Amino acid sequence: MKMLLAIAISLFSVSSFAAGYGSAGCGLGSIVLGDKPGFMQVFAATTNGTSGSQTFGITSGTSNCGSAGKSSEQFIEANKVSLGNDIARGQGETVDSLATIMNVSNKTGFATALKAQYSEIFKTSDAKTINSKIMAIAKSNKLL
Amino acid sequence: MVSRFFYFFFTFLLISKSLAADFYSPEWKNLLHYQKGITGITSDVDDPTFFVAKGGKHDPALELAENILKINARDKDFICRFPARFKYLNRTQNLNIDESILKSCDKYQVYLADHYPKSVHLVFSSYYLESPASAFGHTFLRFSKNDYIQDDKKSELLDVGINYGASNTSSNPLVYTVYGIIGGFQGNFSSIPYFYKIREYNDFESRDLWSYELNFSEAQKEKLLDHLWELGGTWYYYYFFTGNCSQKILSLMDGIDPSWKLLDKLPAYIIPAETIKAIDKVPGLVKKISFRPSKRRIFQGTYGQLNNEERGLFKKIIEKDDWNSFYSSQLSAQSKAKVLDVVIEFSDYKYSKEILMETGPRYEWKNKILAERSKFSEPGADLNINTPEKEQPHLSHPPRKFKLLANKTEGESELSLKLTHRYALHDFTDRIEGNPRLSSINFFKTDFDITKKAVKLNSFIPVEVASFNPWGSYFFPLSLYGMIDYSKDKLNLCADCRIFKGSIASGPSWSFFNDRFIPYLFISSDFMYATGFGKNFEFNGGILAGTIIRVSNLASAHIKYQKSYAVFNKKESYIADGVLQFHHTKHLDSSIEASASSKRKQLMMGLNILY
Repeated sequence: MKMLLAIAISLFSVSSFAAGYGSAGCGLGSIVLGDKPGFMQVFAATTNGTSGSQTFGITSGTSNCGSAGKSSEQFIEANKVSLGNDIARGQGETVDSLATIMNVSNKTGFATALKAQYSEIFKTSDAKTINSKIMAIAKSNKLL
Repeated sequence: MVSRFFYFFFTFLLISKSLAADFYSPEWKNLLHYQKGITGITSDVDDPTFFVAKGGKHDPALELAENILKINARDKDFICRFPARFKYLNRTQNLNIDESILKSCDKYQVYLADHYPKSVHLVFSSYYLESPASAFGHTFLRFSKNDYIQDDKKSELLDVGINYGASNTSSNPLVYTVYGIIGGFQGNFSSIPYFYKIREYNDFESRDLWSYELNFSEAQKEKLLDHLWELGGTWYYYYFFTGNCSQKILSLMDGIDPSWKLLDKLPAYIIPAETIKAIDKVPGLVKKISFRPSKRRIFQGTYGQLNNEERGLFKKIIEKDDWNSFYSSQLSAQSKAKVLDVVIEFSDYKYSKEILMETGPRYEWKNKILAERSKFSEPGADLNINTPEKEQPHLSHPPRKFKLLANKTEGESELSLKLTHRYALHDFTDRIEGNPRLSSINFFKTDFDITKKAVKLNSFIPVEVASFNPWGSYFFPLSLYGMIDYSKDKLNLCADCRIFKGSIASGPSWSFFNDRFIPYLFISSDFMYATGFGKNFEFNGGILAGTIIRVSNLASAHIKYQKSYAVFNKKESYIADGVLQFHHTKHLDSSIEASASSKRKQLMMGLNILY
């Protein structure tokens, strides 16, 4: 499952610059510097194999990659720590942004509903499961 | 081949009249990134596919002519690949081609739809001394995709980040440094969801982010997107000093309006904060400055909101995990929610890696705290941290410093002169406005002694770095100092010799009165080499103690004392230094300096010019 997610992320998080036209795509490599593992290396380790230093996505120019972040699952994977904080607190920019991605207009209602179910949502750390639980809560509260 | 040549020659004659002006035009120069170098005109872009003409990298006129041929031939691949050139030449050369041809460029259209910004921001990520690549800070662009929700930071997560960086990096810092200097890596632009930038810089590396919103018209945004599309598909050799992130972002902006002359305002080696100043100097270009605090600042800010009783409870949770005391406490639910919020910020800052990796007892502990926090309906701590207006990076003093001091050496009857120059960036005694308060970087510092008889090199310091990380509020980190140095012996180890020295010192530091009083106490070690020693190598171990004192914006002082023991030469020695620097303007300081060592005592005073 994590492997699939990693692939999904790598497909979504690339840029669509001149893909197919130029000789090079664009990578996240600029992020991985120094001898200490950087965010992307640690992040990649949690997502089971998306190497932060590879240049990926040269061929995926037609995927809707520039609008990355509009996939709620990818958003949850990358923002899990902050999202957990916001949901436990019942407010915050990360939960607001997730509402935007999921097209939920009642952001306060969304945050409150998720807060009530905090422990249920974060029983797992798997972004896909968290995503479907959040969707289910939004639906059952008639927010979607 | 021959017919192609005639065709080209004919076209060249036809358009040469307007060409004469245009291949020197600043627009063409900036779109192709031509610059005058020692070997003549050359483009900054190293990818050969960026040029249509063979040799176009060095020949603006030839490149212009062949670009026009491509456009006249309505070469769709070319037009879709280089929309900014197409529009520029179509309009200035009166080629009269319907620009709606661009509507049929599928990938370009997808890119436009994904990237078209509501506003454009130049972002400065503050100094980060733990990584050699980020010690001077970093800049990138943020394309805001969202309307403001009162305060624009609320919507930043869904923005797009545009970054320039080296793509084939090595995890070995030495390899990285050498390759970075000699151009061993390729660099290119990338576009990533901005939340990665926030998680990386704000959270993981705990760096502040400063956004300078740029006052772009719709036409300027269009030019920016078109030119970024051209540059996004290409590559350069990456040079840490001259062809770095900030230089490329600035040259991208020069492609929008050549009259800004942003790169022309700067020396060849580009320091990120200087590019922010270049932008700030263009009248009306910066619309608004906003700030996004680091995890460290959020923790410190929220901890500062707690009263004594709340701090007591905070302590019980983080030190003893004592929930009985927490629930039996008489504090209000609002107070308890606040305490938990600060505990959350504490754990995110202190255990960022374990929490991100989702492993270990601290990760479990954090999850427990969140579960408890979700039981409180109270709003809790105010996480909005006030913008530290005085730390805005464009306010910083210029990086280069030229110092001329009159020097009196004990035992010598005549005064001498001391002349010092450093290329970058900031010393503890320099003005702190806009600069890092807890770190100093001296880069390429050269120091000469001038007497009536001779000019002598006293010392050459390629790099001297100090990164202070004061103790306090449950954090007991080590502060670091390091220097590479070639200088005259001060320790009486050899008669009049020069010593290669690498120094490392580390230990605790403390900060009081908002970084105005910073004492430190380090263990020091110097690795030295000189032919004048009894044995060529020497190891010097000891202690280094000092204090930084800042009196408002008027003056700063740094006194330090090092006592050490040379293992092979079996000699004890000391060095004491004191600098008192008065800040007059951003460009002018004066200083009184005293230095005493086992070998000599000196008293100096004079001027510091920052430029």
